[in-house]
Amino acid sequence: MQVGTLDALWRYPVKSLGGERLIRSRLDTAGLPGDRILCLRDEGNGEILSAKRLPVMLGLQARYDEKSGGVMIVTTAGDLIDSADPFASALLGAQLGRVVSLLPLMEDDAHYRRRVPLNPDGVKRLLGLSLQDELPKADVPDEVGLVLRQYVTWPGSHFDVAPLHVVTRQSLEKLAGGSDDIARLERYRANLVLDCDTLADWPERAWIGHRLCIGDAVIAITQATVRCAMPRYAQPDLPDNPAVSSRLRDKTGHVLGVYARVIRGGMLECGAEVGVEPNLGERRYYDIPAFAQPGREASAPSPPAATGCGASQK
Amino acid sequence: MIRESAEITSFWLKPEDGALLPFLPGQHVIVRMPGGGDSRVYSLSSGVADTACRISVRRDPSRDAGFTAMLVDRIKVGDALRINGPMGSFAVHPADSSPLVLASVGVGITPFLSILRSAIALRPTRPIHLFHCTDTPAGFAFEGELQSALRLLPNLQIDVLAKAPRCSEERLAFSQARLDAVRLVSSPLFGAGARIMLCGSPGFVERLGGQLRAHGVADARWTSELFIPAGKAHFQAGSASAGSFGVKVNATLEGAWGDASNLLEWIEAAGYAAPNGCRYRACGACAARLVAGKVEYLPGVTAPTDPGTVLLCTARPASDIELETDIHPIAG
Repeated sequence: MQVGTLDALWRYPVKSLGGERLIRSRLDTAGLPGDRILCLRDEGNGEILSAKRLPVMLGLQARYDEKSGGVMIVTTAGDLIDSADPFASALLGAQLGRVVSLLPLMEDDAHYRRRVPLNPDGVKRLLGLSLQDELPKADVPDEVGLVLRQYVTWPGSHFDVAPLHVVTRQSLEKLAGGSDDIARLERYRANLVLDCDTLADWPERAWIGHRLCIGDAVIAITQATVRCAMPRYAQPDLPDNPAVSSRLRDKTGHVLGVYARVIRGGMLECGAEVGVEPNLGERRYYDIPAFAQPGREASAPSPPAATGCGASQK
Repeated sequence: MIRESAEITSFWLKPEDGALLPFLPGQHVIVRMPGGGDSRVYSLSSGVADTACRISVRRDPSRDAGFTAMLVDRIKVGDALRINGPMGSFAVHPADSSPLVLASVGVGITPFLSILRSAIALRPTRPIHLFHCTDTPAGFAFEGELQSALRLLPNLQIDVLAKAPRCSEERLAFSQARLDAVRLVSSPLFGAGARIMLCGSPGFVERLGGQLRAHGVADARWTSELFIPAGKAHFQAGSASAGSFGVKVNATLEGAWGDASNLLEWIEAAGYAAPNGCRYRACGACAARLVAGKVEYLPGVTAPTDPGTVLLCTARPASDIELETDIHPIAG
């Protein structure tokens, strides 16, 4: 059943830095080539840096060169930093006021791990909530929440939760309520923006557990996306806008967009038709690390202090 | 430890654990005594290819207290210091070939020594014009090092502006004039697109910076770093209650203000690292969110336009305050 078309395609070569809009791209089972292939590690505490903690990161923009496999980062002043430059980390640190290392995906599990697992208050802080606020109700599987409290990014990747983040134009427009600034795509850091034919509110929520076909590619929608404070933060040509956070709270309960993983790769092109393929069978879409699998919580490497749902994804 | 002049001493530092992180010439480190407590920021004066890092500090002979006096008087070869960094936005790419016009007074030359040493190792053809002001032209600090830089960097020109006369040599010119912006923008390198970097006392940087602005030099063409002499009151004397204001950062750090120089140093003195860059209002890297309360800024410093943003490096509390920023304990 056709539900709409692929409206925009984005990738973010460095975790938490600005990304680039694409007209077409291959989709691999690991996601879009060049998406989140690098990250910045804070050498002060050895943890992967996120714009949730350091919003100024969003002022830098990353571009991936498919031929060389390198990444070029544009600073707010318009200077270029080549990821292959031996001084790239120092140049980025000077931009961010930090000692940082620009790093690729690593074999070692410790690369992705938080130094201190998040407790519910930590989850709230990361989401930009006050401690009196309720945690968003996003129906995140317990084992997923367990992983997210222990890792900055999903182990083995620089994605928060899953290789693809999908939102619809219709949801952004409903959220924005007429504000062009709130509706700006850049704020929500989606990979795929879909334009839907439906009149239903928040159309992507209905797809959780089902599959979308885009051209010859097939993706599985795994869960709703819990939003942190990141969408409000300033980016090049976009001001810090606290109204983004309050609209997210009031209109969506901090839940906007969905995560997806790739079932079958293919070529994606803006304008392509998107169909939904109901899935009545297997709905387990995550590679849950052994420690977080149901019944294995007791053997977690460092037992989480938190209980209940505490998804920390954006 | 090397005595560079009557007032300036250099310390060569080797990391106890692992290699020194890569840095950019011009960047600084935060130095703390082995027992913790006070800290102070010093530019690295070594080059990126040196196997150890060097700080060069000026001990004010009229003062027996203060961090630098303690460093020079008490620290001996073999002692351990705690170093955080290197960081800072007053920096250049060491292998870049773009021209530079540098202007310093006294110990403000230290970040430029790092630039020169790095150019010797990585880009000896880089065109650099250094203007350096000193009281004592005969045997001024680092003269030997600048002489060897002149031998190794064919496109280096040094103008020394001193109070007493001395004969000029090839590419090392002496004059008794006062340094002004006209001299900087008259450098052929500025005409060729060079960026101007100013480093020294607040008076020096503010005077030349003001002149550059009056000359219509675009902000992107020049940058500056201030060396604030230790012990100088940064703020006018506060009200009697200022010291008892409560400061809360995230849920992690809470305490009384006391008499710190600014919020950034207050956080660092408490054993935490916070984002920072220029440490004097210019770069915005230390911006934090003001959740509650009021702050005030150093005299002459413009407050950020967004009232919810605090630049930690130049602000102090004007009431009990609550901040949000990204801090973490300094390791070691």
